[in-house]
Amino acid sequence: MTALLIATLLFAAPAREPRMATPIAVIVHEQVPVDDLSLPELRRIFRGERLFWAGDLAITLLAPPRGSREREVLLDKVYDRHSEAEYQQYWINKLFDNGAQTAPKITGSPQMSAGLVREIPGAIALVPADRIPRGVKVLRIDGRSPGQAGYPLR
Amino acid sequence: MRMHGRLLGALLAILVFFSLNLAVHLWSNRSRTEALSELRSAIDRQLLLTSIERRLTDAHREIALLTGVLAEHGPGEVGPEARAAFAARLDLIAAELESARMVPGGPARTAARFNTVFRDLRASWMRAYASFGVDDSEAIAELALRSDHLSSELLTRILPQWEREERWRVQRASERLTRISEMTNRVSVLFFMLSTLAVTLIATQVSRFLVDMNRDLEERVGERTVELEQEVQERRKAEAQLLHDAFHDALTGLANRALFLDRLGLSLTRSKRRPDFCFAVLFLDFDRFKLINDSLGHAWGDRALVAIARRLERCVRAGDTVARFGGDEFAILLDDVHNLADVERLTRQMEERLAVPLQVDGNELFVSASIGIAFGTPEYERPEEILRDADAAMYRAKSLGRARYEVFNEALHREALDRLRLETDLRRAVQEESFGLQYQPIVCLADGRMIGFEALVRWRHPVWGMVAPDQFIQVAEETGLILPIGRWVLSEACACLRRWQREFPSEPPLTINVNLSRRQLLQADLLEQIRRILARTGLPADSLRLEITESAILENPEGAVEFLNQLRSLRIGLCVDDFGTGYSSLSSLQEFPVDVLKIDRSFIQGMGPEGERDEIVRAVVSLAHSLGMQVVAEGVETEGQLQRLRDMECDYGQGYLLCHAQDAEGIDRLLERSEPWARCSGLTA
Repeated sequence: MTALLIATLLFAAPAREPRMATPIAVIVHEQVPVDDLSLPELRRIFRGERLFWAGDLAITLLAPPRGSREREVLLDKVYDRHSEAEYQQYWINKLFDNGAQTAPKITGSPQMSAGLVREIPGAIALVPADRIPRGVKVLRIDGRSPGQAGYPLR
Repeated sequence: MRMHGRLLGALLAILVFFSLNLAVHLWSNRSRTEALSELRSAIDRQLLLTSIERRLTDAHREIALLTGVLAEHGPGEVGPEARAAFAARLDLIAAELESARMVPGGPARTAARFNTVFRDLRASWMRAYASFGVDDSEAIAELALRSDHLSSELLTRILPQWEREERWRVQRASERLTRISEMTNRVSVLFFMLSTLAVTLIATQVSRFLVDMNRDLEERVGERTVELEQEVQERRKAEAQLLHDAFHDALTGLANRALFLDRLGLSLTRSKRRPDFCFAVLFLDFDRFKLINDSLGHAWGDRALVAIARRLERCVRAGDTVARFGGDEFAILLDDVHNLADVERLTRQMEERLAVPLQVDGNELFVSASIGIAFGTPEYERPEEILRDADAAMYRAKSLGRARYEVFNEALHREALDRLRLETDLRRAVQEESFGLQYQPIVCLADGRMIGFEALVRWRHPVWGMVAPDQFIQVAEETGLILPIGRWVLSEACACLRRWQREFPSEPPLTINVNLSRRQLLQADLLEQIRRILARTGLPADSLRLEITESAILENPEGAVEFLNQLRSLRIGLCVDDFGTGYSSLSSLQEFPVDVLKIDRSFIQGMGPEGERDEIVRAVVSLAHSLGMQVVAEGVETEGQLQRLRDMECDYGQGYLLCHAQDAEGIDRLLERSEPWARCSGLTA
C-alpha cells in the first residue's frame, strides 16, 4: 500500500516552470538565535543535514504546500531544481537509508506556516514576502532581506 | 572381620564418589541450564527489541513520510483507516514491550524508561493523528513539538542504550555459560581423575580383599575337605559296621539268621540250576546250655558261646557258612557236598571235635549238641523250608536222647505235616470250642468216698473223634492255644462242679482239680481270670484245686511263690502234679504253699510184689504227711496197688481201678447213686 502510494506520488506530480514574482521570505521562531543564513546553509537545513540551531534547539522544517509559489522556490533554489518526485525520493532515501529522524512537515498555507513558526521553537518555513506575519523572525539570506536586490529566493 | 571392614570401606568410598559425581553432574546441569536460560532470555529480549525497533522506526518513517513527504495535499489526507492501522501497529509495539518485560530475567532499567517515553510518544502520535484533517497545524505542532522529540529520543538514545544493555546481557550470559561450561568441565575432569584414582585404590583394596578372602576360603575349603574326607571315612566305617551288624551276630561275629537265609537261598538257586550241586543244612542246639548260664552266669555263658563259635568255624571247610541264631542255636550251611554220606561224615567229625573240652577262662567245658541235618534238594522252594526241616530233625535228635544227629527224612516230613495239620485243626477247634471235659473221680482210699474230680480236657476232632490231651497239649503249649483252651476248661469245670454241688450236696463239698500249664502261669492276669470265673459260676474258692507240675514251679520259683500265696489268700487249693518226674525234692517243695501232692503214675505202676517202687512211694507219702500235705496216687489200676497204697496210708487215689474218667452225664449218673464209690469200683470202705 505504501509502495503504491509512493509510486502514485512520484508519477502524478507534473513539473512546473518557476515564475518571477514576489520573493519568498525565510521565517523562523523568534527564539532561533540566527538572523542571517547563507543559501548553502539554508540548503543544508532544508536537506536535513543540519538538525539543530545553536544551543541544541532542534530545527523543525515546515514545507509549503504543493502548487504554491514558495514550494516552487524551495524545490528550485533550496533543493537545486528538484522536481516534486525527486524531492520525495530524496526524503524517502533520507528516511530509509540515511537514518533521518524527521522530514519537513507540509503546511496547508502560508498562514499555517506562519502560525506554526510562531508556535514551534526552532521552526523554519518559507512564506511569500508580502505575507510575513508578526511574531516571527525573517532571516536574511546571503546578507540580503527579501526586498533587497540580489535576494536569492525569488 | 578385618576383611569385612575393608570391603565395607571400599563400598562406602564407591558410594561417596558416586554421590559426589552425581552431585557434580547435577550442579553442572543446573548451572548450564540457568546460564542457557539466561542467555535464551537475553536473546529473546534482544529479538523483541529488534522487532520493536523495526516497528518503531517504521511508524516513525510512516509519520514522517505521510506528514512531510508523501501527502499530496498535506496531512489532512490521512483518513480514519490509516489512523486505525497506525494505532494497531503501535499496539503491536506495546505488546512486544510487554513480552519483553515478561521474559525471564526481568527488563533492563532502560526498558522502563523506554516504556515511559513510548507511552508518551504513542499518545503524542495518536493526538497528532487525531488532529490531522481537523486542525492540521495542531497536528504538525504536536509532531514537531513532542512526537519528533520523543521518537528521536527513543530511536537515537534510549533504544540504542537498551540494545547495548541487552547485548551486554547476552554477552554476560554467554560468558557465564562459557565460564560455567569450562568450570563444570574442569570439575568433571577433576572428579573423573579423582574417581579413577579412587576406583583404582578401591580396586586394589578389593583385589587384596578378594585375594585374602580367596586364600581364607581355600584354607577353609581345604580344612573342610579334610574334615569331610574324615567324615566320609567314618561314615563308611559306620555303614560297613552297620552292614556287618545287620548280617552278623554281635556276640560271636558269625553270620546271623538273615545272612544265613540269604546264602541258603543262593545255594538253593544254584541247586535248581545245576542238578549236580548238593548242599546241606545242620541245625545245632547245644544240650543243656541253659544250665551253664544258670550255674556259671550269662557272661561266662557268652564266652563259652564264643569258644563254641570258634570251634565250629574250625570244623567246617572254607566257603561253608556258620551262623548263630540266638541262644545256643547254631546252623551250618555245607555247600557243594556229594551226598548225604559226605554230610554225615562231616557231622561225625564235628561231633568228635566238639567232644574235646573247651577252655573258657581256664575252665574246661564239656559240650554236646543235638544236630539236625536237612539235605538240600531242588524240590525246596524257599530256604526257610530247609531250615525248618533241619530244626525238626534237631528236635528229633534231642528227643532221642541228645548229643546225636538226625537226618530229616520222609517220616519226619510226615510228622511235620501232621503237626501242621494238627495246629490248623486245633486253631479251628479253639474258635469253635470243640472241646469237652471228662471228670476222673478222686477217691478217698480210707473209706472209698468220692471227694472230687480231676477235669480232663478232650478234643472232639471231626475225623479222629475224641483226642486225648497228650496228643495236642504240647502243640497247644507251643502255639499259645493253651491259653484260650485253659480258660475254657477252668470256666466249664467250675460251672459243672457248682451244678453238682447244688444238685448233690455233700459234706465236705465236692472239689474240682484243674490243670494249669506253665504257659498259663506266665499270664499276668491269671489270678484275675480265676477270680472272675469263680464269681460268675458261684463256685466257692476252696472247692477249686489247681494242679501244677513241679517243673513249672521250679522254672520260676520266685514268681511261683508269689502266685501260690495269692491263690492261698483266695483259699484256692494247690496240687503238685506228676510228682517224681522232675528233679525236685520234697524239701524244696516245702517252701511252697502246697496242699496236695500227686504221685506220678509211673511210680504207682512200678509198685508190685517185688516192691520196686514201694519204698519210694512210702517215703513220699510219709514225708508229705510230715510236711502237712495230702497225697493222691495217680494211675491206680490193680488191686495190689490199691492195697499197698492203703497200707501206706496214702490219702487219695485215682485210676481205672477206682473209676474211669467220664463225661458230665456219666458223673451225673454216678452221683445219683447213693453209694457211688461202691458201685463205681466195687470196693467198700
